[in-house]
Amino acid sequence: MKEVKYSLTDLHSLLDVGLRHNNLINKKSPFHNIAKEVYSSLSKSGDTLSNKFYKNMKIDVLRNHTNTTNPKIKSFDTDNETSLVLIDDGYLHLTSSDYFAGKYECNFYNPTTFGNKLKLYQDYFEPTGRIGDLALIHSTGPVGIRYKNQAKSQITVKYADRYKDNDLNCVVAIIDVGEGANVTIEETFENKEGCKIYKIIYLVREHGKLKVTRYHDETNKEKGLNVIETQVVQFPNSKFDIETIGSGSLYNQDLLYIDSYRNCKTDVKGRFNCKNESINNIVVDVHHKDIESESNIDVKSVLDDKSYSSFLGNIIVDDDATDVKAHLTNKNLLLSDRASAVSEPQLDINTKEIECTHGCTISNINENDLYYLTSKGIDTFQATELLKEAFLK
Amino acid sequence: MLVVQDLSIKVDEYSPILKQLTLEYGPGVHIIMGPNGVGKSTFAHALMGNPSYQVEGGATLNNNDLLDLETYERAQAGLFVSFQNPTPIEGLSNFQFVKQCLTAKNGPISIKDNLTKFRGLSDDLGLDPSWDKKQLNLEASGGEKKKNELIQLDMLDPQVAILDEPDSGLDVDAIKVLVEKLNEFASKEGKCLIIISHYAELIKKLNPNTLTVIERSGYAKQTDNIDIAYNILENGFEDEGSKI
Repeated sequence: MKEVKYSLTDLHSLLDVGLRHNNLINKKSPFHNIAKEVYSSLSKSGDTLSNKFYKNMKIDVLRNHTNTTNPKIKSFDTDNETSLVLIDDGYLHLTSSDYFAGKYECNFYNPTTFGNKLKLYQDYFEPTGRIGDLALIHSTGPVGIRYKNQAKSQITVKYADRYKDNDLNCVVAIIDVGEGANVTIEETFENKEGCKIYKIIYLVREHGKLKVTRYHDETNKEKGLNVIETQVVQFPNSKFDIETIGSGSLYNQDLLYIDSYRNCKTDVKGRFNCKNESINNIVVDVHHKDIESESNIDVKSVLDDKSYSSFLGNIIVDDDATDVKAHLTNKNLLLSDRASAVSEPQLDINTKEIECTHGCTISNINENDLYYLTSKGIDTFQATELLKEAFLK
Repeated sequence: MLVVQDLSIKVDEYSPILKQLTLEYGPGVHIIMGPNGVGKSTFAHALMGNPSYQVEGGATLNNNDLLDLETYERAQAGLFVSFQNPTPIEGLSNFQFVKQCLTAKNGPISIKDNLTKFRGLSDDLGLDPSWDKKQLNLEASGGEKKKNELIQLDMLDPQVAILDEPDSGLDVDAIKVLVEKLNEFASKEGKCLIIISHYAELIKKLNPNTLTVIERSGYAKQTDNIDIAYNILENGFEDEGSKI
């Protein structure tokens, strides 16, 4: 078969021509059942891209992008890899032999070798009607990292498409942090032509701590189309911190859904410095499901040139989730008349016994600030850069 | 050194706040006085290039046209204006700001030496030991902000400094240090210190060379008879002995 060009909305058709090997077609896949369930749900609800949820996310850029698949290209390149773990579609590659010495206190799961263990994680997924559902169907298999109880570990992970084509890529990854474990992960999402759809779940078990620093790739931004859907389940008494640093790309969506149970602490920080025609869509949704949990969402974006940002922040507090503290801020600094931002905070609070604040702003450079800096000898360009850096701190 | 010639300052196209000012400030100490709201701060910031003001006429610093320069160029040329209420900037530390100003003026600097100097100055002024790390003018009292401007003056070492009510918000001990620092600055060769103030003790201790009074009409007069300043402080601006 020759090279095939298709958009994201054509993806379903490719199932019929047998071009894509995936969780749905492969009955032996550990995620076959959830793929079937999601496929069935999507068949009823229709095109995920038409979901009104995406109304502020310039979804047509993703819809109109042409992906190119060439079944003849099978070569895979993991040379010069500096991250410990490389995650591609259905494949987790380790670049260091340290793992085998037990240094990282975890197990790495590939679908071919640990299918039975991965299969158990299907229960954490369900159809959402969002693009991430496509990853559950079209990934060739889930991969995972399972940390032992009480583990203390620090690793670097790169999410990348290392096939030498410009095809769509779907990844499902499970990161399971054992009870009392203390884990730090530095992760990077590489830009490459072709839509990349990631469905990632972090399970932070009781008394576990997970700190994630997430970098959106700074190179090839004019090519990168990434949809990262992250789901976090925080078991009681756990702590989850994530800091995301990026600058948008041709199309970027970074969606974070967190379920927080009793006495959990959640800290979400995002810092984005968007230029040129970058698009950066951020969603943070924290659902407090039990008592005495705390969350803090703090997302800031600087937008220059023709860049665009959307932010949707959502705090949900169940009616029996008393003594919760939840704070949400989103600030956007526009440096250009052609840059734009949309900020939408949503609160769904079902109890009165809660401390909750939110604030969202979209503003230009403060002329008084600029004058103050220039009056002490800093030129206008440097002063603007300084104010930008200060804003993002 | 700093000369203004027939300078008028407006905030819009309507009548000017300050009219046809012709004033000259050489090395030494100079006092500016005037009733509230006549435009003393406006004068300082218009010279500094605040874009809120429209300026007509001339102003030179060391015979170079000041009004042709951008704000930062005026600062780099040697003009310094302290703010009555300095703007707070979240995310930028007090020292980081001074470091950037020094780098902009002089190129690469010794961070260690300048940080030591900064800490010494903040210690002299009775500021918190972690003042260098605190965010610029954020969650600072009026007095602390004034002290910060004083640190900047010392670190940046301009040729001409216009300080807008540097004494306000300062306690007795801090005023002692202020006087000491200002006299130290003014005693350096070729330095010109212009103070907007109505604080008798400060004026006395600085031993000024000239007095400028900005009148309600928007015009200003300058004299070397400093006794007029003391008469203003005792009897007000309308008193006959207060006229230049």
